[in-house]
Amino acid sequence: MIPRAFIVCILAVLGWHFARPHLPGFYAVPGQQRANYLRSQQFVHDAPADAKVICGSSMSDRLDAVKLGADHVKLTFPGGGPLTGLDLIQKTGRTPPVVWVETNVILRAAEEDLLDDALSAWRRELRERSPIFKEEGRPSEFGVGFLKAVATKAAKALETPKAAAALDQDTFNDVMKANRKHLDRKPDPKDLATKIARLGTLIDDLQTKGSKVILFEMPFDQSLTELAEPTAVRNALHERFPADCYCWLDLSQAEAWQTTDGIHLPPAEADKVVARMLEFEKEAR
Amino acid sequence: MLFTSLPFVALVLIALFVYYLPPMRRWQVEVVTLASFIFYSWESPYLLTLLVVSIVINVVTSYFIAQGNPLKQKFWAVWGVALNLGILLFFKYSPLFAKTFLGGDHGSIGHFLMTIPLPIGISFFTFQGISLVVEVFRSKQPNDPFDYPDMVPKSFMEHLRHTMLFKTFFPNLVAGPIIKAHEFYPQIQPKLFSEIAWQTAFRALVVGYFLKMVVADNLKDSTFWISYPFFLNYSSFTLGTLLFGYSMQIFADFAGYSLIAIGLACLFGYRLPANFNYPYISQSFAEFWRRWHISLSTWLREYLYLPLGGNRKGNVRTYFNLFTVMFLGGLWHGAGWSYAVWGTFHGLALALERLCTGRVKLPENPLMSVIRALFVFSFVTLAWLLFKLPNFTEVIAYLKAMAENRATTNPELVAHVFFYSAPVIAYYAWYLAKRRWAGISRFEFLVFGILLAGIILDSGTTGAFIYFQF
Repeated sequence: MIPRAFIVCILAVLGWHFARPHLPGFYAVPGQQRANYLRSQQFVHDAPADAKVICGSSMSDRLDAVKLGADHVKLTFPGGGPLTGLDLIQKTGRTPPVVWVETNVILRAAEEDLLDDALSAWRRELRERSPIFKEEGRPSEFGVGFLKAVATKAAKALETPKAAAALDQDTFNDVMKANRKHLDRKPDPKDLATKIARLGTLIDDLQTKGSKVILFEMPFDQSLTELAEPTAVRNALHERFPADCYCWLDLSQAEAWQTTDGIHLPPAEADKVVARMLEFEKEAR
Repeated sequence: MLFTSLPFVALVLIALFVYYLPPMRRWQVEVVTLASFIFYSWESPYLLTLLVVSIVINVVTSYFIAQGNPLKQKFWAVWGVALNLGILLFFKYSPLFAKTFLGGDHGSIGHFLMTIPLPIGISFFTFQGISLVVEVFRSKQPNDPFDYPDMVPKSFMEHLRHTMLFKTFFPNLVAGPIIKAHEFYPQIQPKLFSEIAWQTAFRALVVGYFLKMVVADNLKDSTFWISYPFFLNYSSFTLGTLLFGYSMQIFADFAGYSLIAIGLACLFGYRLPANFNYPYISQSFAEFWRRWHISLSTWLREYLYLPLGGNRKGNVRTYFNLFTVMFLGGLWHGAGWSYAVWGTFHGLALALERLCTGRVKLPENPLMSVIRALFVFSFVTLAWLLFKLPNFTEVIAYLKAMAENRATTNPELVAHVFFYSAPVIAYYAWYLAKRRWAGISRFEFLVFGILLAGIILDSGTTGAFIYFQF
């Protein structure tokens, strides 16, 4: 039974390798984590060398890729932070002309599993040889894509008019309460210092190689901006990266920005940020 | 070290190679023990200290019960059990005790207790230690009803070797199955490469790795959203689907781990007890606990429920025993009151079921069997919420969000959960089909080939096994 099972396995893998390029596009990223892996793999294998890169978290992930233009690549990882993207740039040895660094979520360390997946030599080699080893080549993508289409139909049928509305006020209040609780804790000073030091090393390295690094803080709900964690992070960052030595885009926290949940911008607001970024790039040129 | 990591694969291959070298045959116990120490200490070497202390306690107490002064057997047995429990209570439950009764102000005893690290697998190796002490004690009693084999040799050093292997055997060290001393010690003999049960090992490893790497590791990306406040953004349908997905994930994760452990043990010539027997087709709660985490259920039955009197001391005492066992069983899973409530829920279900048995007559037909299985599955799935969410307010918020249907359905999440839950349903369907049509077994090679291809092409991102935390 064992040798026959191995033969079936080899045939199945080979069959998928040959069938995959001829199958219709039915791609659906199953979940946030997989989307992060997809993004990092696309950066390693497909991104042009002269692309401008945005490193950040789910906050800057809201920036519309189409509006940013084809010359921009997003290394924005929901659940992660800019250190993952910066590490990826450094370890691939790239020198993008412009690197945007979102500074809101610097306390999250670089995601080692993701970096290992994207950068390990044998995986890179396999992915170069066959698309089935890339994220979008997984058989499940097609299955999930099909089920997603079915689920979308079913979801429409199931929703009540009330449910179809945007996040209601009660839910928004609950989420804001949780955000406030989370952001009103002072970060561990040792951890903050470690993360800032790492950020400094990566940014200085990029600048030495010739990249233009622009730091920016994504706007979020005004009532949260002065809580303990964002304040401590902001102060520490401005001390390490003073505006007279490093390039900052000030997105003015004083403005009242609309958010979907206190933290993330809706598309219209995110588009305003994109416009400011593109304008800033033009001025800096 | 995770079973799914490359260093682990390397460790197993090297250990197997050395283990079966003919000149090493007399050192086989030492080879596996050394591999186990490396496995356990890979990320946190300081954790070895406690494991070594635990080994010493069990070697000394069990040796003196068996070979020491017969009048002091009870003394050593009581000390053996007490010290094992003491270690478990101190390292696992101090933070809960401090949180509940002392508070955690900086510099206080409460704060100190709350910062005690939880050594991985402590619940498993402590329970195995207790089984050794109790079984050696029972085997020395006149009219021993259990008829345990003789587990303690005359030589202290020989007993030390055997017990080190029993306590550290890496396939089941950190998350079971919990093997009892009388099942393990008689197996400690020289092993031959030609005696490996390849078919058993292959089946267990392929199914185990598939359940873990393809099902559980992919589902975890979706069930991540069962965390506060994220779940507030979803509709009732999405929340129900996520809970269903978590039920599938926890089964795939834990059953997967157990199967990998059984397969690995098989490669080294040892048999570990089955830990899961298709629990989600159970038609009663009692049956569920005979099929889910079997090694823990039988441990609790033999060392807690029966010594408390089982069902031999009247109805009131039986219900009390059931609640006590399920409450403590719940708390064994984690140092949090939500685990105790989870156990008590199951205790309540078992008690009600017992109360109804014989009083309520239900028709016996296939449709009724399906309804009963669905009822048990729904209850079990709902109760997993207490596993996933660490505090009651979040559990209540989840149930409230489910009831109120405040947000929109997320088709992507729903699709993802159903897609990766499908193999678990197929796993059960295959089992039921094999029972009905034995002939389909000849197509097993196809199934295993596809499972292997699935592992290669569709594994999820690595995640620690859920039961590691226990």
